[in-house]
Amino acid sequence: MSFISFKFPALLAIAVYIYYQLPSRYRTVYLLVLSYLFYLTWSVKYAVLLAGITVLAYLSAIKIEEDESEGHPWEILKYSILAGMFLILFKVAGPLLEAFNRFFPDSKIKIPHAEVLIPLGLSYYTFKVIGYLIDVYSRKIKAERDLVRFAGYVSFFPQIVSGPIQSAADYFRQIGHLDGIPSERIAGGLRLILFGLFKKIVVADTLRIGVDQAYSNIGQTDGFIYFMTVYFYAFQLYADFSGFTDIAVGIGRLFGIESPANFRNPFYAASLPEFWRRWHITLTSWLSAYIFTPLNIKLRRLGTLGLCIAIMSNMILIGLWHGLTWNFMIFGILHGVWLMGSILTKASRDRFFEPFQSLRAWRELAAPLITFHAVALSFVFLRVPTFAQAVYVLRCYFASLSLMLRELNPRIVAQYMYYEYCNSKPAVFAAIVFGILTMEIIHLIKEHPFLKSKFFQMPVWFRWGAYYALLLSLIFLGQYNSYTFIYEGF
Amino acid sequence: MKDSNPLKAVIKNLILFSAVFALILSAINVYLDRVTFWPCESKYNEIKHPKESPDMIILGDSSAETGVNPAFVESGNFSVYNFAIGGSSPSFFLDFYERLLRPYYKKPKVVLYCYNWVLFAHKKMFEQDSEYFSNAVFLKALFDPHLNKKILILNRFPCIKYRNELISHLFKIDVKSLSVIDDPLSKGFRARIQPDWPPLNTIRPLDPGTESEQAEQLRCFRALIDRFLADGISVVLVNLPSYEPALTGPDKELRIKYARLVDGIAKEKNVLHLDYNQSLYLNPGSAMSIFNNATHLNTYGAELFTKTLRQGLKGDARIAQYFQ
Repeated sequence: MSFISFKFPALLAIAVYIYYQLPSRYRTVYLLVLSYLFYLTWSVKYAVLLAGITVLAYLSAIKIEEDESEGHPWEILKYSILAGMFLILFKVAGPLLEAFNRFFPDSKIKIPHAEVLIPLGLSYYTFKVIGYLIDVYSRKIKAERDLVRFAGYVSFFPQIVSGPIQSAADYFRQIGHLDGIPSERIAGGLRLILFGLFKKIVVADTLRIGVDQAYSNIGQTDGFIYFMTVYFYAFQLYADFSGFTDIAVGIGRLFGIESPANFRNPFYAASLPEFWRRWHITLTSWLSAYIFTPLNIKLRRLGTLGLCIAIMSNMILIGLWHGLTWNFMIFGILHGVWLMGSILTKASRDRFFEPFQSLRAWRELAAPLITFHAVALSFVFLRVPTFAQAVYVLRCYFASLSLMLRELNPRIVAQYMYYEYCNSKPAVFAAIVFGILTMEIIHLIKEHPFLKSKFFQMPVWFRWGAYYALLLSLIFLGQYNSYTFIYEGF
Repeated sequence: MKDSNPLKAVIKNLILFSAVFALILSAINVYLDRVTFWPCESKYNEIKHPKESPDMIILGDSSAETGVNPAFVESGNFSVYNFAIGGSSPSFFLDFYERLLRPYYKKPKVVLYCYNWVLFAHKKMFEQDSEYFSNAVFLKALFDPHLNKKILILNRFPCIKYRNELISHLFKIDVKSLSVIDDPLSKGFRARIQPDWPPLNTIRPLDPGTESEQAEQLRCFRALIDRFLADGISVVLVNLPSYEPALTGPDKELRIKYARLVDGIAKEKNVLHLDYNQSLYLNPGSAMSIFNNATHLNTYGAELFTKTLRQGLKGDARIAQYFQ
């Protein structure tokens, strides 16, 4: 069952109502039951897999803790690989079977289906489990002895589809205080769900129409369309993923659980390292804590080379986490190279600009623009299936950019967008323009404490007016043809 | 502030918030109901408040709606009403007859089911017109296990049904193209005056639907004829003319296939089958002047065709009796 299906809100309302009627000591069990019921609506066999991995991790953590001797680091690797085995298996199996079928088309061994469906949320709960095992090993937290609490953490249904990846310590700290949930947290959850739905249904799914159309006809449509598609896909991906995260965090709040932030205005980042500190924060923090930092420490004696190896390994892993394809690998390498360049040249760039204080404002303005463009262009490799298609799209982009700089004016671009991209539909055009602007204004208010407090000091008619505007745009500008999220597939 | 049951305060606010929202939606509902217009609404109004009480009714899709003008087939006390609705298939009319015409309208003596080569391709559902149902029909439909409740409910309210048109109406952008505003229908007949010919090289073959969809439509078509016959209503199947040069190869094959199929059904059920697909015109050049596009006759073509049809109906003893 999807968070944006029509049945979900009704069932969620009932679930929340029952939750607050229960004595707090039963709420942990109730959350576990809800999580498994939710997961069972997707797949019974994968729910068994989830239970299996949970029990395995539960027993492994106790064993790690009980092992009083200072274990060899490879001990924890053994348990982590065991827990992550299924993730690796599912990620590798599809491409391997596909390659087998391609190289041996006449083989007598027939593999029934080359596409292996990755169990829903496998990446996310595997990361939770591995992080938990490493934390237990490094004595940051104690192994959880209550299987219900632990299983509730692994399967917590708002986060299982595509994160955020919450640390065990953070979750267990909150689950112990379910008897004093403030009503403001529930109201905040509802606001966040509304905003998440707006981002997903109004912004992402409206952009999706043109993006899908352009990328499914590569080579057959007007090249100028890709100029817009490059930007629109970046916004679609952001609105889709961050919209989902908001819904997930909002649902968590309805049950009194605060989830970590996953996005912090990433498109305003002044550099690529900063972008990765603001985009998919929980995944990058996880990789940073459990892959990059240990690797960087291990390779410290190699100096800059060691740092570069650690960065590149980290980014290639991020790329391949999306799937085992060349384009995902290229995405990782591109970001790795850019990150290395950015980190290694930062000091000299700062030194270069130091005498030119008048250029400071320009630099502050240009840096986010350059970063955003680099990121938007790299996202082409995430979206199109082959390297040749990605190159074609990028060639069209730069050809159109050169044309734009020479001849076109913004009015012509707006007209082109209306007629070609929005199929002359005013509602689609309004959804894109109004949607992106509103989304960014709300992000701005959310991230700035002053603006946030000003908003909540406004009279009730103003605040409710803003919520009604979001609700009405959901009805009158929203697209209801897709119930899936892009990052569900990863 | 930590409450014993924090949900209470939230629910209290939510009730007030929802009440105000319901008022806003109601206002938008009234507005969209006023500014949007679908000509076929008058056909549902005819069922709700009958004025015509026809002896013969016409069923079919948009080509029947614009192709058969009741004015040229009526005679004396024998009245005719065109209930054809654009985009409707046999499954639509099976529901339309069972749930609307049969219980709430006068039983006709003759049903003229007009078809062409897109006979089984349409996917319109009865529930999609729920906005025009009377309260009694809507309530009954709500408890009908065979109908899709989501489609039924969402299409009941203009603020949902026409939600994509709100911006256009508010800012007066492309309003005419969104809600087709024609002359008022005359006994259900819809006049097509302006030619609407796409360039011939842009015409793509019709998607006839999957095999199972076609089989389901065929089952409904048979069931519909059986139902009429069981109710003592005479049935006439009419193959409407279409402009052959504008049809693609697969469409032509489909036209021949369905004409043969319907002819077989007509013989099996012993009902009159009139095939006008080829015989209405001989010269393709002059034929174009009677069509609005490949599948729809224009006003003049409809007059010409309906007069020809009338002759055909009078030529069969089973139907001719009604024209005395």
